[in-house]
Amino acid sequence: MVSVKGDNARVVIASEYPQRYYFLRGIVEGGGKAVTVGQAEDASQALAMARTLKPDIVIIDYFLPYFSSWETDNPLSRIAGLDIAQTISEEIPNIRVILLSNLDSLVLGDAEAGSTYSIVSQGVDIPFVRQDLSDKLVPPKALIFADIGVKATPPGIRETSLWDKIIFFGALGIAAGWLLTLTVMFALPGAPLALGGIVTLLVGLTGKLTRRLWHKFHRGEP
Amino acid sequence: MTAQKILRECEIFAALQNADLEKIAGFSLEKQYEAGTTILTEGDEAEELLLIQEGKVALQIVVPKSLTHMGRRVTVEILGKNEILGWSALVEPYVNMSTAICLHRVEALSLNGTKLRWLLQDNPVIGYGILKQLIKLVVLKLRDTRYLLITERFLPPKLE
Repeated sequence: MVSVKGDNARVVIASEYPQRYYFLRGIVEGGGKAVTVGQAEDASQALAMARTLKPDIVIIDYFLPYFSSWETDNPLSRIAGLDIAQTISEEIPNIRVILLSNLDSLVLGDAEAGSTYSIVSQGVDIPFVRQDLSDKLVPPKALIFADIGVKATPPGIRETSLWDKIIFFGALGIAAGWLLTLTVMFALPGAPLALGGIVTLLVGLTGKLTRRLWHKFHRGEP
Repeated sequence: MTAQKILRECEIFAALQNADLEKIAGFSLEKQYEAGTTILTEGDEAEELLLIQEGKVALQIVVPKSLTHMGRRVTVEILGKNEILGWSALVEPYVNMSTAICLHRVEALSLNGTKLRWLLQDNPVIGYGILKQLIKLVVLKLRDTRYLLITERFLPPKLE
């Protein structure tokens, strides 16, 4: 287990474009447990910052120039992300390097209202909380290939809560039990199934009502 | 998508007849690679040609550390959808010229290199069609590389 000092994870972000940098900074600092200590615009700066600032994490956009002072728009001059990610992860002790591969295909301005973003590796959200950066989840001196994950709730469709699911299964139980009783042959199992469905439905409705009242009185929501 | 449709969308196979594509599809295999996986290794025998359907692949070449103060591996190209990886399987000495690393989960159609070469030898018309397109592809890559050399030669010196 890597020993940590202080509470906040220290992060350096390497991206040539300010919009992407601020977008990533929002994800990193959104949980309130991490702080951005450096902004690198190219591979050379990313390496220098990793060496001098010794952050916990370096986040690198794969589409990164070797030197931002080179004024060229040639895409082949902007493929340094993987190289510098490998170098930093191998050279700097106790550092985690996250290489992002889909920032360029993400249209940052088109996020739907209610969308949230995270950095995801192998289906798991990477935590930017120092005490969660355990060896098991995110080993130190690791190069992690990650994407930006989007959690969007389409307008007009709200997320299904646990109580909604209980209500649904209760209603399903009632319907199934009622149909079975109609068959006469399966009336014996059908009746308890319908009764169980009624109980489940009532539990779901009660839970949902309780949650609404809780929010109303404790947060002042309508 | 069927293997034939995938082949049809790839530049080097696009001009072939359906019957020819069917022969090639006969020794194809769908493969997936997770991000971070090494797909091909520089210097190894080139055993397969891969047609990328989804994802991104970085091609890296190992250079002496004395030549670069930023590490021993240099990315020379990023490949994406409908691009070809491993065309060394068709060109002597059939050795991978670079290491291919999966950057973003890749789904690809793999063509056995040996079987493909036999097919090209036994079917000169197919062989000519494929190699004609392959040469075009290689020439474009050479042009891009030369353009990069020219532009970077006139740039300010590297910062230390």
